[in-house]
Amino acid sequence: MKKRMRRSIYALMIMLFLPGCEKIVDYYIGFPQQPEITVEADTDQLNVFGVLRPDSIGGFNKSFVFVQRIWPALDFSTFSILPDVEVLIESVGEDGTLTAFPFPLSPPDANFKDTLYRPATGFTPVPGQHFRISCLHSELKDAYGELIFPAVPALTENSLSAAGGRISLSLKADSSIEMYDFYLKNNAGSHFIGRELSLDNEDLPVILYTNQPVEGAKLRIFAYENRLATYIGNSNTSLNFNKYREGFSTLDSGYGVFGALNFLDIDLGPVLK
Amino acid sequence: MIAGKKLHICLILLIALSLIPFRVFGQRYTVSGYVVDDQTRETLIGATIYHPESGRGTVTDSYGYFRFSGLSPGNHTLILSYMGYDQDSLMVKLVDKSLVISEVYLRQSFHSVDEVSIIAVRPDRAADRQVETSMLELSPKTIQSIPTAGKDVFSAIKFLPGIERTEPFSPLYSVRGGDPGENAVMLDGVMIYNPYHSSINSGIFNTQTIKNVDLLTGGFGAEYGGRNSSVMYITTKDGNSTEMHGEVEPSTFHSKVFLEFPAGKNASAIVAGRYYYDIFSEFIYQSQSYFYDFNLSYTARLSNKHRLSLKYFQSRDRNNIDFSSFYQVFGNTFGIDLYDDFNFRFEDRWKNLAGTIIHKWAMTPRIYMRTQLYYSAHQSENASGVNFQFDFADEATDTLNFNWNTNSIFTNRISDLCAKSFLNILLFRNNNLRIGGELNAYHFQNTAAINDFDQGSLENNSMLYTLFMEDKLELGPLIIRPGVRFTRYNGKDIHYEPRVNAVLNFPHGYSLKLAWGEYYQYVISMNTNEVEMNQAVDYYFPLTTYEPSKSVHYIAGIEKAIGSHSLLSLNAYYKNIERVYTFDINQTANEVLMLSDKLQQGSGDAYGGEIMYRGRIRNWSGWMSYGLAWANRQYPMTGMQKYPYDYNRRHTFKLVGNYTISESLEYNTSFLFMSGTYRSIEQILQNYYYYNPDAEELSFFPIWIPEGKNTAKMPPVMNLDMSIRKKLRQGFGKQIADKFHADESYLTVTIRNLLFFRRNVDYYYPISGIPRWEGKYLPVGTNLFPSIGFSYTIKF
Repeated sequence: MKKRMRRSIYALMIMLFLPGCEKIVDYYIGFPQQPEITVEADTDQLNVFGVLRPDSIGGFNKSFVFVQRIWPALDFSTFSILPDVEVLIESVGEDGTLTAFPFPLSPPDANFKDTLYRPATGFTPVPGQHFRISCLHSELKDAYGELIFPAVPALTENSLSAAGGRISLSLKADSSIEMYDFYLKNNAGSHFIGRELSLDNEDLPVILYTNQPVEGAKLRIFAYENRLATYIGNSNTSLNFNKYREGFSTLDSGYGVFGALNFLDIDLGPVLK
Repeated sequence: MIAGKKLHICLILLIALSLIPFRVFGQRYTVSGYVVDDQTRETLIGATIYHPESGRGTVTDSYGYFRFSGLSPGNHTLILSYMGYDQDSLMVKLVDKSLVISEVYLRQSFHSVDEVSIIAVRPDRAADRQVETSMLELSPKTIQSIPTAGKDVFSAIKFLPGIERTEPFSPLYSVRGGDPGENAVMLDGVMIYNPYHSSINSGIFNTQTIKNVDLLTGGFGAEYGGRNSSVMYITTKDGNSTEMHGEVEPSTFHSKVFLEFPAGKNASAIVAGRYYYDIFSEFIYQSQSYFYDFNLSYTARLSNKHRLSLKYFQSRDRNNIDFSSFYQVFGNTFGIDLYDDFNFRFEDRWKNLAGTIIHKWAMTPRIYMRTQLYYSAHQSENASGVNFQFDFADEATDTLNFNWNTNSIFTNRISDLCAKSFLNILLFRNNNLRIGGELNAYHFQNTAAINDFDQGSLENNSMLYTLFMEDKLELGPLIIRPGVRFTRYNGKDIHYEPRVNAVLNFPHGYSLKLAWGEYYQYVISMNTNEVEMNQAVDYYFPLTTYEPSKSVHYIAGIEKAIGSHSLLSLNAYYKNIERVYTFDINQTANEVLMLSDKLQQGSGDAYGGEIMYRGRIRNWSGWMSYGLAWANRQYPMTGMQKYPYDYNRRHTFKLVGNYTISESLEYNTSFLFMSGTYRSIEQILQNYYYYNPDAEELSFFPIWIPEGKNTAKMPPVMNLDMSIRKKLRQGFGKQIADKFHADESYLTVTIRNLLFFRRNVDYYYPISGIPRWEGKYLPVGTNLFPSIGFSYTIKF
């Protein structure tokens, strides 16, 4: 009886081990080791990261556009910038008139360290100005977007105080601003110390804490308009595979973002309380 | 108005049914009492009481209590039987009143086949437990017999039909296409929130303390509510009231101890605990991961009619894995600077606490009352984060730096203070009315942060009032149990949940079972698995400003008793998920400010069939089942497009077998075959850009994106595990047991993952550069190697 039992266990184990062989299962039994995908993805699209900002260096505005393409997940070949894209920024006047600013592909130089699509001289965005972007490529679908350039952040009168590791201030409500970033700049360098979302039609009280000395330091407040703020906030870059997430886009067509920022520098030295 | 009409019809029907038997039948007497083990005085759940004269029978309920009614004045013999126990008879003399017997004793039979069988099939008629349409039972013996379950309830239930695992490393489970947060887990009537350990992906209940596990997978009665999918009701032991017994299981990582002993006259107590320390993580990652849990129980038999139990349970987990030091050591060893700026860590901190006082009162032979007060609380904090930078730009100025910076922190606290009571009134021998109420006072605290963005928080106190009544009526071969549950949450509208169960018994052991019921849920679970790699807990969230989620169950089943030891069952179900919620956690604070605004209301359905054979043939016992299932969901975030539910598996075959080779040697095996689930497989690569406006630095991270929700199917999963358990009669193990004056000692050898040649795919990585998988998704699974485990148990 025990012998028979032992034999049957051996036989069972052999039977079960055989289908364990991956190739047999894949090719003869028909359990493929690749997923059955039922929907085709459209990957002939551009991925744009365009930021307009007000400041310049060497007579050139620091606004830029970085363009790549969307790749099929299993067939990508480069992370480099995509050449041969016609990048055009247009300013839309109140009467609908368009002023074109070409952004040609520009290699690194003394002012800029990356290869980017950048404006020539004469491009100076101002708050409230309406811009459109179009990125055209011969083989990929065109990308379009638009924005309203944000205002310079403004402090509420007498709201700023800084002492020890605490900075307190209030920012005036402005509908063109969606989000603020705060950087403290001192002799030790530049330090990110906080991020706040703006309030609808209300001044925004802000209290920032830092372990950096604030005496004699400068506070730089960046203000992001809606589309750039949403792109930053919508960054589900989580360590997660095979889960649903949408592509990142605040463009009207294509992937990516066309956004803008403005900023305010405050010298913290004289306001110590 | 229509709802009001339905309610009136329901109530009138219920009252009419409860009154009919009063008029039809006349004066009869009732015998009631507890059936207990004669050695330990532990109550026996599901023991059969049979009256040969009338051919009628009943079984003890989940408290070990029975009531046998309809007996005429005179002498009667009742036959008592229970699997693994000697059959006994009880002589009663009824003169002019009903009789409450304190306890009726049954003696364990030695070395019977029943004793070692892992399956208790009791196709008894005329019992509350038999009215349930979709009820599965597990005993500690059954749980221990599943090699891969590791003596864990939550691992064991995944071998039952209709119950599916969720994420590869998560203890959460889905029942018949329901969300994991729709499952209630009750320990002696206490709702336990997140009854899981994080370190070993298992449940927090020590099987040594468990007497019985009932799992209701659908169509359950009006007594249970608050969850739309399933109820797991765990009954713990009261303890041995005659002498001390115990069990010790020491091991390198995971030690257990269990003691039961008399605690004064007619009282018993239990002390049990487990401790786990992950030495592997300590050495490899220099990370501390551990858990502990303990149970305390005291039960006093105050009189023939009164029993009082005090139970306390606590557990704590810390799971801290920091891969950074491991990768840095790896990088230093092999001279790779890739990991210099690499930080990758997970940290979980969980706490559970539950305390209860239970009073059971056999007021009269016909009326039984159970009253309970409990406090149950759970707290979890789960953080994970990756920060990795790599400089490509040195090589090419047209390529940005690589920068991956992602993190999430989710916290959840829930406390539930509850008072509840029910009356079980035997109106007549064929009519049993159960009526009860429950009051829950909840407190919630939730926070969520993703990539340093606060996703909103919630703090809430709320109250839930519940009343229920159900009437079980036996009309010859037909047993029908209509019921209704009324609920009012936070002072809002009263909802009522009508439910009906019916059983029609046919000759030759056939029975037809039907169930219909409406279910409402006010406390849901926040899904975070779109962001967290492995959602291992439910984040409980109150529906204070939303309508409760709602499901309607329709179930039909046929059962056939095969001999006295086997049962074949076939169940078909349809679940209309009328209202269900999901969190669109990807919505940012720019889009919605409040955590509750991320909630999206959707709907869905689930339907299928399950066939199961369970029982014993000679020395073999166990079960095998096949399930065929569909489940779908639709939400605004996916354009109300219907998509296959995340944890639906179309075909499942599950087998658990025990072969008793001899009195001291048994062999166990478990086998699973399951179709793949539907997943969102990445088809698009889109770089995400980080921009530091102050340093004017632009960097990127590649993100892979699927085209639509659950548009791809994973391959099937197969698992085979085996174990052999030997009672030690000689050798070192026996000598150690003798030193402790132990009665028995066992050695268990478990071989897991025998089908390791074929990888079970948990994830597909869209990574290129690996020659064999060029142009293909890289399948990644955890069953790469088989494992052998040894455990040694001393029983005294």
